Amino acid sequence: MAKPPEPIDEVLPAADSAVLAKVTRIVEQAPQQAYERSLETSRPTSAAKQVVELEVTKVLFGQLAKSGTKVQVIKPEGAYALREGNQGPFVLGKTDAGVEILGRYGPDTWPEAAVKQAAAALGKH
Amino acid sequence: MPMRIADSRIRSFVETQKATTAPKISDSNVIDLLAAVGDGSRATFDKMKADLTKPGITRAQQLELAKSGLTRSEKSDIGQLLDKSGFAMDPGAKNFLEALIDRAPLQETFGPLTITGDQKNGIAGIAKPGETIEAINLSTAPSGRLHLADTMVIGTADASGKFLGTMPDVKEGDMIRLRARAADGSTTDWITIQAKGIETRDTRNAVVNLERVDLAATADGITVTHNTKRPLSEPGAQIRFVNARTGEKVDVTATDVGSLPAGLKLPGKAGDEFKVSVSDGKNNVDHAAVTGTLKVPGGTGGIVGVDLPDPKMHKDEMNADGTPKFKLERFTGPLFINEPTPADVRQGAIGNCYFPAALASVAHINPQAIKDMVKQNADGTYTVRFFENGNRSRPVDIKLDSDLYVRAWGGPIYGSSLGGSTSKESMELWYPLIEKAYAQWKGSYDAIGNGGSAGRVMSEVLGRSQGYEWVSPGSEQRLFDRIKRDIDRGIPVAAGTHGSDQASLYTNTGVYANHAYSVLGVEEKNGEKFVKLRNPWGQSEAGNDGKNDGFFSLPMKDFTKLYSSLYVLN
Repeated sequence: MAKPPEPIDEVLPAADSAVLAKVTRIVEQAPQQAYERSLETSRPTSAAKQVVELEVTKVLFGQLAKSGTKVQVIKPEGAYALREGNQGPFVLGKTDAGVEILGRYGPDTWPEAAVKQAAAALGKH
Repeated sequence: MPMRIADSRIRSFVETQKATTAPKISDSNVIDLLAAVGDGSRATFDKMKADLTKPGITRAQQLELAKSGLTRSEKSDIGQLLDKSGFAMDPGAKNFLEALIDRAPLQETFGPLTITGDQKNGIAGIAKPGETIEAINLSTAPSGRLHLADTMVIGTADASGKFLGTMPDVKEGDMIRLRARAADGSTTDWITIQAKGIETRDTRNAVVNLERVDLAATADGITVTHNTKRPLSEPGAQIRFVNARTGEKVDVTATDVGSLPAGLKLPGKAGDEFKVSVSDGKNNVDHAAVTGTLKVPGGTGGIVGVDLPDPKMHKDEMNADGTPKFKLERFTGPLFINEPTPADVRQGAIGNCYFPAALASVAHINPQAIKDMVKQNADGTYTVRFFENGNRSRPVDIKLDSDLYVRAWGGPIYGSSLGGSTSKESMELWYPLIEKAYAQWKGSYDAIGNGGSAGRVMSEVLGRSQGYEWVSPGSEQRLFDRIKRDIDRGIPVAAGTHGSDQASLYTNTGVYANHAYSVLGVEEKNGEKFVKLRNPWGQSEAGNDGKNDGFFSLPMKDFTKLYSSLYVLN
């Protein structure tokens, strides 16, 4: 939908962890919509849900994953999709279905320093 | 019975203290007593004092040194000091003396965090050695955009656990929230103190930040909510709400973190206004000074000046009963602060990227067109002119007021101006008002908030027919030439990326799928062709130029891969 990303301080209260990680494998991929070229942008379309494997290189806060380990997480249906090699800060939340990546644009949304600063302000370590 | 001090140095210490107005054995001067006790044939007083103040020495090591020279008469002297002197004593100093004569075990630390004395010379206290002391002034924080945990470090506890912190702008009666943080990041519980000893009178009243409060009409009254992550007022402040229509008063006491009590309800209905005042118990106790007013969304009236119908919010921001989730506020800032530029435009939380991208493109190439399309009327309202289907013979004039939907903290939820204040009084208005007029023309913010074409908007703004070019790898030279030609001729250009079905192309590129961008020109550097772009978010861009302002250059070969269409005018 190409809305601006949510402010980090609106997302972090629901987060259980944040990590620096790299996508090493697409484990599950729901069928994507057929490609349809259009002159319009911000159309209410979205990329399908994925389950991906993350290799965690650093834990910014929380205990959902440990540095140096691999963890499977859900990329919900939304404005972005992941593929192998994508990397950056992932803000994670635990749901009934498993661990989900939070934020409208996943790892692209906030730099590491912004996540750490906002987490510290909320007392998340 | 008077003291009979045998040791000459201890006696000298006592006489020196008695000569002062407030005799005291402090964490600093107790070292003189320890040195007086510890000296002897093996070490002089000066040598002992130097050893006792070596960097890194612990309290246990200090005690051991002093005890090594302790005589029976000195033991008696110390006992008299404790029992008969009447001197004030810091807790750490008193414990040293008690431990010297075996009345009490030595306390290595004096945590958890304790504040001692008044705040005349700063915030003093005791924590564990090495802990940093963090504090936030809850009396001033509600005026800023501070969370409850947005503290500043005011000092560090020394080897004896003592600290003296400095904090700017602390006045008599201010409520200060503090905690200590250890090297491993762990923190103590919060404590809150009220500053004293700074001035003779508490002259700073509590504040209440009304921009953080939301009122909503329900079947059984008005619910009052606010973002509890940020303090609304000072802990313990008395906050009064008076319904301007009925005169009914409700007094509440701010919680220990400066929030409103949970579940607060006020008597009233949609459209009512409440005058809000606050008192810290010392100032404005009669609530004569009113902080401001809050309006319950819905109903009619309450806004000063002409109040025109407003476009409805996007469906994502509507309650099930059809009422908006956000309130309207009248903005009174200038229409233009300077010449319109792309940097003025910021997309709000709505899926209409095509609109700010188009307006920023027009502002870049033809700022006069922006100034011509929006005018302020004599009655305080505004008129914005569009052209239906880009036909200059079919102008559409939209008359509107400057009421904008706002977030809980007061800033606009939809489009706003970037680079300056977003306050009601000073935000530059041309972009948010043109966006509002567009929503009014098309039916609502929902009607413009689910996608569209930047080319169509440029056409409707300038009264020219629209065109487009598909973008694909291999078209670099053609597109470079087309952009250069149009920009040189004063014609705005915008571009759109592929849909979210192609989203995997974009992660980690700094460019976003299903998104529109302003095209601001082309350039050639070291033989490589680039296109200059702007993200209408006013942030998030490809590359890292150190600014994150939405402006960036992209090699044409990346542009043709990541972008789908180029919007132009004929």
